[in-house]
Amino acid sequence: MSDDNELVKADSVTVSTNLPPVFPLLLAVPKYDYRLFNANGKLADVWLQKEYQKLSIKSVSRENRKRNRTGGEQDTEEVFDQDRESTESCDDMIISDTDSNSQLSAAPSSSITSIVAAARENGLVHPPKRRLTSSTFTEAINLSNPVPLVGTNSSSIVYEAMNNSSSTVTTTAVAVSQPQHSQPQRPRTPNAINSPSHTPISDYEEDQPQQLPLPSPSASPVQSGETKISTFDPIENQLKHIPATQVELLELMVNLSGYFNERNQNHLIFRLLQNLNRSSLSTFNELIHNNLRRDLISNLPLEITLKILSFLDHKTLLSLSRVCKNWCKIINNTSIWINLLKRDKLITSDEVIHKELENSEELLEEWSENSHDVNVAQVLYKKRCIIVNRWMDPNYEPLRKSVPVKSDGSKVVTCLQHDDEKIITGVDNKSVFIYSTRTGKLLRELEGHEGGVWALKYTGNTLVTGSTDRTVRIWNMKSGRCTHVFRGHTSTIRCLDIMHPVVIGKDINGADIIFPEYPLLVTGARDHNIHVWRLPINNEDDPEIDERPFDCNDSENPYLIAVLSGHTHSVRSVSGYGNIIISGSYDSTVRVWDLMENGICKHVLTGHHDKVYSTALDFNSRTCFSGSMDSNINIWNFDTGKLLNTLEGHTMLVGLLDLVEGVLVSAAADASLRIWDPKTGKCFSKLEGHTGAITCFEHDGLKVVSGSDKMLKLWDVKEGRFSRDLLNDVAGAIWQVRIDYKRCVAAVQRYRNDEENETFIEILDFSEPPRKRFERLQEQ
Amino acid sequence: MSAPKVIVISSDDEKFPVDPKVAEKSLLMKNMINDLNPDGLQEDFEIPTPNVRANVLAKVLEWCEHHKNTIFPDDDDDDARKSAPVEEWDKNFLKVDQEMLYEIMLAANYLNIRPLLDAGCKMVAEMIKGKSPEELRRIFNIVNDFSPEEEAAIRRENEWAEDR
Repeated sequence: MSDDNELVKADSVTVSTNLPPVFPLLLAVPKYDYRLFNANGKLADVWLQKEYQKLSIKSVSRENRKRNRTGGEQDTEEVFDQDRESTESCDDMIISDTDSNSQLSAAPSSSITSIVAAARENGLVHPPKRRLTSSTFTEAINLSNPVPLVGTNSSSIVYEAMNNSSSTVTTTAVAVSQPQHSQPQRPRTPNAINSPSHTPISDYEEDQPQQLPLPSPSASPVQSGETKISTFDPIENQLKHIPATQVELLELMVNLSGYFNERNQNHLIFRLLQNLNRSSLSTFNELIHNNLRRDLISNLPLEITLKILSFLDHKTLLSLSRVCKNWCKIINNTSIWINLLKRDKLITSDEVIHKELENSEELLEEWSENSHDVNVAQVLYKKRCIIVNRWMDPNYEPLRKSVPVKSDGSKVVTCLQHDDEKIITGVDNKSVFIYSTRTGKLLRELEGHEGGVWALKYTGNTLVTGSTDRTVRIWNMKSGRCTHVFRGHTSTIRCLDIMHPVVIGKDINGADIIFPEYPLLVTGARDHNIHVWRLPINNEDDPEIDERPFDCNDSENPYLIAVLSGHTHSVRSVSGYGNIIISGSYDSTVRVWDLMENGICKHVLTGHHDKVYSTALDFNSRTCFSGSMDSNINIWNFDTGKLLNTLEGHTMLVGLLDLVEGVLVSAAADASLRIWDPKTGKCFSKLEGHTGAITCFEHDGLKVVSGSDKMLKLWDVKEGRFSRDLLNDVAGAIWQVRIDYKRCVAAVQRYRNDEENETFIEILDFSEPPRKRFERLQEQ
Repeated sequence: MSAPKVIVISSDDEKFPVDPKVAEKSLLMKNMINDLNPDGLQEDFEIPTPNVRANVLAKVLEWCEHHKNTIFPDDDDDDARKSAPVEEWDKNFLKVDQEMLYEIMLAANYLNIRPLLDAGCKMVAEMIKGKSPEELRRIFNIVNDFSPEEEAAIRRENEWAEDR
């Protein structure tokens, strides 16, 4: 506050010793709205102006509103409001004057004022004779004969004086009803705050309730309405009576202060404050400070309030909703909770959020205690947050389903992908299995490959698999039929990716450029080549036809778009997005291919000293990542081909990389995982606890699940530390693991009937609704 | 002749002459200056701010003066703006009573000074963070208008988030 500045200034000026000044404000300089303003202004003008304002219904309602809103003193603000209204017409005044509502709260002195005002309008009152400037203020009081107007019987003197003065005009009804209405209520009404008899320091008066004026019968002559006034100077009347008691003097001063315009009223208080010593200032400081507290949350414009709330966590928000009804209402806001869901990475896709919110009834039924008053998005947040907490809680036992993989020969699960309905696994024995995610039941076995399946990916109902038999097969998952066989690779297909049409930029006209036109399939093989195919899409409602799959060799295949050759060894990893394909190869290089330019190799990224095993691509930041046998991770700019950073730390092969939600996680044969900032290359944390090479992992920005021999571990990304073991009965390898927000799907080796090692698909579900869980545990 | 100034006029007619660079921290003023002076500022240019009283305007312009050379994170970069902590000078600058803070935030909103509004919002968020409902009522002078039943219902709904 500016007063603080003044305090400091005063200190620096007056302190010559080490002692602080006793009167800190003594040398303070007044400024802005507490500076002396219009020193030669006529008192009566100010006074009349205030009367106009007060008599206006508009001004009354405005004041009330403000008062309700703030619950505190708002003098300066009101001043400005009123200044703007200072041109209220006389008509307004008279109309509102006769309306007793607007005048209920007028003080006796102000009722006189209005009489004068009315009379003055009629040109019958002389201009005020006296000028009082604040510099002569004290002097003026001492010299004059003040008549305290309020708090004693002397008020009657004033009225009598008024009535007795020879008059030429009747005050008419204007004056009649006022004293009656106003007197008893005067000190506490909102209107009184700006009446000349009532200064901003209202607390001062309210400390002495015994001094409140009572309705005075002596005012009756005025009520008769027949009296006449001619010349009349209210200040003169005030000063007629010499105050004899402390309270009389006080009242007089308070009344007189009403003749100031508002700014000078502030100046007066400033001058009075200058005379205060530190202790007294401290007294007021506390009083003022406490009364300036206000409900910022309710009073600020909603958009600002929402902005404030966007900086808070869910615990604080829920605490806010218990403060009062209005805050509860503000917190019950869909956008707050949707933003929080995204910020806390509980759900990052708008599509998923809207899909979840569509099922509001089920959501409320299962996850809310009182489903009427709660915002659905808030309950969605609650659900997702509870589920994350369950993951991290070692004492929480998820619902578990185990499905043995029925397969002759090899039971190495080489690849796995899942969603809410199905789990697809590729096994190193020619088969692809589809299980029901809910029940674990085997839904289909896809047969056709003549060698082990080492890569798979699906989109919608279309599944793509790559095999050691050198073919790529496309499947309709609903019917289980193989619809296409793509030949051309001359060795095992080791990796593949599906590229969807996406916006890759804007053209000159600002329209989105979408690339590729249709979904593409990218396959990388041990024959050093990468093939790009148009992906045939199988819809679920495609007719079930029993015909042989489309099958033709390389040169004639209309689906083949490009063969990207250049690598001099096996292609181990491909990542594609938009027009860019990144490939990592055992030839130690990473290559950047641009499909917009007919698939030319834009850059050969050299920097690794050994085989490249893993790649990741962040299209928007124009960077790509590669993990290598040389135990480093390189970050490259794929536009310039420049090596941006080398992340060192792992001591063995970095076999796996995953970039999700702006978090890069690497897994290595040194039994550790690391969490990196992909922008700066800073290593946030080392995840250590496994005893063997990491065979598989997945992360979602919040949690990392990783598998190595006999161990399936969960790590907290934010805290960067071990959270819990997810399975403790694994006897052998963990082949594959995938997660979504509520479940973990893993292909693991464990004992069956204490006999031999079997491969199982384990499904862990963390999403049981609280009530159901409670009931189930009760039954057990 | 000295370089032309922007003269910002408060609601109570106080005049604050400032460098155009300072005034341009307010997008509102920046746009006004540019729109009405397409050839650059030739002479002093008055901008009335009828919603802002002198005391508050002085404070806001003090902020603009201090930050006239500060480059703030891009408006579009929401994450950067959100995660940036309030810098020490701003923190001290905003250590004012709630009324002043309220008026500064309204002024920053009206004048479109995003970093100042952000800092104000973060300060209020700091006041709120980690507080119990009772403490919040005390801080913001609020009366609890819940019935015991309503309070219990909300408590039950929120129980999951309480520390175990």
